[in-house]
Amino acid sequence: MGLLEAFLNWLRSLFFKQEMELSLIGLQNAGKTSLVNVVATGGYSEDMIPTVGFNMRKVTKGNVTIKLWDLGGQPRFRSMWERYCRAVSAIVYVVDAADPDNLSVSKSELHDLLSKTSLNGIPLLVLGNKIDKPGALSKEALTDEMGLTSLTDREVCCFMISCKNSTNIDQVIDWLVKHSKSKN
Amino acid sequence: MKGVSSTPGDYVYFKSQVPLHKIPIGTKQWRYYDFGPKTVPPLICIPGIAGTADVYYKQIMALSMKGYRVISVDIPRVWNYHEWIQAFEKFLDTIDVHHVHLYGTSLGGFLAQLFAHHRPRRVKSLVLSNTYLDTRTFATAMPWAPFVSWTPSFLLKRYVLTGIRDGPHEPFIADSVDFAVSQVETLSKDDLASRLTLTVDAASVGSLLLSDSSVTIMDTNDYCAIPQHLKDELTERYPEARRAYLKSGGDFPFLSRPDEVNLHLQLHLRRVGVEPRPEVVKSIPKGGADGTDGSSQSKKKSDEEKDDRNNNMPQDSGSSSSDQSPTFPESSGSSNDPPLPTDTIQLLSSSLNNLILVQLAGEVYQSCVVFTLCYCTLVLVHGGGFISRQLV
Repeated sequence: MGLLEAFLNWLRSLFFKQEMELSLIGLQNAGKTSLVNVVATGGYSEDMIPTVGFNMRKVTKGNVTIKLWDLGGQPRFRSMWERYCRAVSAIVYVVDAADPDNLSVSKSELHDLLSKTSLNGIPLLVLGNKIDKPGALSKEALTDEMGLTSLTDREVCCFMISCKNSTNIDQVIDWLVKHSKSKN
Repeated sequence: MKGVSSTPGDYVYFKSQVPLHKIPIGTKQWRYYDFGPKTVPPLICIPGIAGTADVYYKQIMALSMKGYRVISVDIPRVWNYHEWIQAFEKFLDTIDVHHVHLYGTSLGGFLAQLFAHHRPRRVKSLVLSNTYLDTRTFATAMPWAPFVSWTPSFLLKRYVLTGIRDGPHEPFIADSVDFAVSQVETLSKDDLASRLTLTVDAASVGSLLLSDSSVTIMDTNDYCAIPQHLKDELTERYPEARRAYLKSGGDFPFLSRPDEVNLHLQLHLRRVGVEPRPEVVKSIPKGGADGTDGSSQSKKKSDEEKDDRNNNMPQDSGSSSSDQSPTFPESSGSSNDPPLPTDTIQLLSSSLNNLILVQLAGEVYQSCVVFTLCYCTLVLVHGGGFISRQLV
């Protein structure tokens, strides 16, 4: 059964190109643009400039074209997040796991955003970034701090990553690619 | 009239604060807004077919508050691109602006590129939004172009408005469409005819002297009247240009997504080195926004502002003030108009309705006459042919 399904999937992937749209949000300096760069090219740069406004990148992984909206994280851009999250395949929320001071702000911003009715049911992927730094939270602690267990009306997933060392990036890409398929 | 009765509140406020300038230059009538500190190099907004200087009112308000100077113009009544370039250059000379940053949407973006191509030293940067590189596609879509100037205005309006996508919109986009439609209603037949002639006048943008780094392309990603392949052609022409993507916004993102458009415009101006002068901006109290009560107050305000402006004049270089002086009487005349209280607006709308009816009747009559004449000629020619065939 599983084999047949895998075969069918493979057959389908030969003929169909899939497209998915993602929005990438999180507080400033969480590592959103770095994540885009790592996913797109595998490169990492230590000195990034803050994203002002929005960037859009198209990344092709296998036969899936991912349209990534990389949104600025500063307070003045947060009111525009909702508009860019509407009707996407998944929302990716990046958190700086090594910065405990900003976790409560990050949590309230996330819960504010998800309370919007226009975003009902869109899967959420929370990424705890910068686990290469000393003092970074564990996955359990982050899940707890961000109040992810209270989000029951949608699929929620959490990974701990490091853009610098490319830790767990392949897992993230797998998850994303899987979600483009489940949507079609 | 739908457009007048549903005028948004911030637009009423804008009209009460920002004077409309109307000046004849050469044979052309120019209608424009010019707001913000005069010492800053201006951003000039050029609208598309279905737009007037007013459609950029949200940009004028927001950016001038931040210390930028924004000028927004109506496309004057020109009938080909050569004329456009000359008219626009004369306009810039008259308002004493030498270097400009242009922001153009659809037809406006095309005109901006043409001007940048033919007057490379005047244009310092370009923001292009939902626009294109040449007019071929539109010329083939409008085979009746030679008859544009004979077509009655209600048909022209209908043709212009069919470009706007119909159907259910989200509220902000629906409002933006309503506003644009109400602006199209204010255009005269000749305005519309000249713009339609411009869109089909064969021309294409040559290579620009401007480096790609001073170009920003701001396209909406949902839908707009300009076909996608034309927008793609444009992005290929300026590979190094900054891309400002708007996820949605329809045909009029400057109305439906003002926060994002203003942000991108500000980013663009910062990138190309325009220094805003926020310290020069006078804080405008929010009080006089409502129509009836604040009219006297805002009138006083605009007078004060005018005085301030006159006081500021000597600070500019001497040549500029002498050049600008002829433009002042007209502009001050319009700035003195108090905002109309609501009941006059209603009165106005009913009289406007009558006016349009009369105009429409006139046009129908005119086209009937033309049709009859054509028919007679045809019958005569046909009859002549018949007779001659008989003779043979």
